[in-house]
Amino acid sequence: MKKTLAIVFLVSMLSVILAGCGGTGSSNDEEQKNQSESASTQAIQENTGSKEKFVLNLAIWDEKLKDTVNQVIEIYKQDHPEADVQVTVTPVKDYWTKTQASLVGGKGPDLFMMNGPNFNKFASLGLLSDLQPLIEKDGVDTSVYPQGINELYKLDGHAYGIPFYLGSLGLYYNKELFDKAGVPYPDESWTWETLKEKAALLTNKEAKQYGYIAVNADQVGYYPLIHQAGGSVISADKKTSGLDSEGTINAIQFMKDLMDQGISPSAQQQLETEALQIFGSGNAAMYPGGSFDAFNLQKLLGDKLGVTVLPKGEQSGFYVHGSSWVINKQSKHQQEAWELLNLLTGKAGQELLAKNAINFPAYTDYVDLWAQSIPSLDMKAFVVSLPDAVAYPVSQNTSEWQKVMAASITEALTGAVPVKEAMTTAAQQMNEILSKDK
Amino acid sequence: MKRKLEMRWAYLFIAPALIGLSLFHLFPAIASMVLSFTEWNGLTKPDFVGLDNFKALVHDKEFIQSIRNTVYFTSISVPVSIGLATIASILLNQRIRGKSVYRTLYFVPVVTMSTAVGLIWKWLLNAEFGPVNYVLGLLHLPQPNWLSDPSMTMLSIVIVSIWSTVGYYMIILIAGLQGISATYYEAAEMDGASKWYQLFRITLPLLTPSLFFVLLIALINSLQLFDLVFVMTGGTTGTSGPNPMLLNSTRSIVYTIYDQGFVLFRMGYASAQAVVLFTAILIFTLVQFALQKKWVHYQ
Repeated sequence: MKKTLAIVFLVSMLSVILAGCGGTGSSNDEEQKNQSESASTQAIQENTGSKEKFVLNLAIWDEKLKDTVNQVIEIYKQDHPEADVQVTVTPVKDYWTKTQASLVGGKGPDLFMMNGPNFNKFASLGLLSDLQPLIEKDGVDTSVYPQGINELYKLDGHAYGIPFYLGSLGLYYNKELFDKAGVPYPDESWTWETLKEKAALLTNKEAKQYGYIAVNADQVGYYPLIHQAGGSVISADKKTSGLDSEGTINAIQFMKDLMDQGISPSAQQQLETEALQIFGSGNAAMYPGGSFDAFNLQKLLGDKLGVTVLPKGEQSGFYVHGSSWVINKQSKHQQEAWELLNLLTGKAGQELLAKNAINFPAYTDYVDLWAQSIPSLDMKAFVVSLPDAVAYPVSQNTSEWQKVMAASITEALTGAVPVKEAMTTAAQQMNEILSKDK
Repeated sequence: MKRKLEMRWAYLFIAPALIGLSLFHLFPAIASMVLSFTEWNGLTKPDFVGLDNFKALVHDKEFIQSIRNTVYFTSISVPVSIGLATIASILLNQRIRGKSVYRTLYFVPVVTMSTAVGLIWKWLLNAEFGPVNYVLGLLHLPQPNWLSDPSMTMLSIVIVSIWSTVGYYMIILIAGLQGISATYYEAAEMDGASKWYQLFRITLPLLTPSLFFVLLIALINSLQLFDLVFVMTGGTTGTSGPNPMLLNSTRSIVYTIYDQGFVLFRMGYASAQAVVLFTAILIFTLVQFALQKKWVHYQ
């Protein structure tokens, strides 16, 4: 009897619980401890006087943004010397799971960054503060941000997030590799045909050098190509999938052809080595990237880096995305968080974001400042291409169908399933998910 | 009287561990059994749905695939790791030069955090730049896409898992070997038994209690595979997490539970999966205890 009891106990100890909280929970806490960095408060603490001390927690997924956020926090502390503000960076791969889990658990950061694909889920679960009353009370002018990005963070006409930066896209190129091959740099006249032709000239299989990277990822990879080919991801009413449309299939086929011809790293290679890394290490001549990549790529490639607008297919343009700051509904410091949010998305924060060359500011007035923030790199391509950009594809359960889409496209690109078949399956599965949306 | 007092002291001493275990292990275990009959997103009140979760499990392709993956993983990793651990323990139980160095070397992976193990191996096994394929290339052997070919990924995880667990089993087996009285060997030697005969007639039979324990632990551990899958097939592309195509060939039962519970917030459904896993492990363990009478020899 005793033995049986012992077994039951042993098994129950080891099985059910380990599944959940055990491993991941504790390691995340550790991570938080390691990565969070409290901006030093000692100096100011002396003259806090009557005001009560409080702690604000901020969460972001972008390591390079941390310094800028800390600079904004310093400005914030001039008026709030009693504040202790902590910034936690979590790699984007784990950011959403971790943030959602901590929010659902009644904790989580007071103020954190949000993107389009995840916004609807968070907002409809009631995890975010409605900012509409605050915007109206303080008379915040949201018309300084692009209309489309404002709309992205609205639920039932109420704003839950204020835009922070945009993800505009462009074609990065490595000048050194172009010079060596004697190919003129790409410009706004390029089409898909030019791209294919020149990329072939820039490919050198022995040196493991690729002409172009057909990126197996949504935002910088297949999304712009799908739009340029005249296809779509989701219908305008957000009810049906566009993944089986002719343009979409052509876009995926275009990517597969480039991979099959060895002009682009294969989808399989990209599963192991990030496309950005391949380009950043000088092993590819062209890479379709975002305004958010400029900072890191410039560090890696220096003067060799150039950027122009994306080549056009049937049409030019891409799906533009923008990220925002949102407030945790359960935060005990709503007003304090709101004030810091305003600094980040307002003039002070946007100027620093632009000056530090982090990313395309959402605040229109600071765009030009950003475009010139890297002396060796003219970034106006990101600005001039913006009028051709269209709204980012989202619905209520974006992340759910993104999974289906990513799986099918990877299957198509690796050749496991014929392109047309893979995309038809993806569209069917996506339609099923969309039918569950309210 | 005195005995009673001593008992009280004993309970006092185990109290911290007991409280900790009930609070963080027993209570959640019971809670998840209750939750398995509900639908709960972690925010609102759980709704009682009876056996619906379990009924849905039968048709859940993802869950069935995860069972298949876990069984595949277990069926290779358990016998191979125990086999290697047995050989290593017997070799390292001899009088050889620098055996403590070898023992430490085998044990190092055990005390290394599995996340670190996963990350290092991810780099070692990189198809293009990894040292493993570089060496294979020098030897003119095929260079597989260890971590991006769906037919290879689980095997890669098996290899890494074996590498990181063999040391632990080896230590337990060495302890078992040292518990075998030298008198048996002296007697056998006098009767002229060869080394091989001694190995199969004395060493292995008397090692069976330790082997049984190791088998039990190995089986329970492999059925709970999670961290290596999470770290090694996380993939690098996309911003929405691991690549689903790759994951399909490696997702384990516990990974699916995590995915349902902490990514999709279907706590009730995840609990139901956990209960199924618990039951499976319980049955496995009971069967082993029943079978042990046939092959385990206590001295």
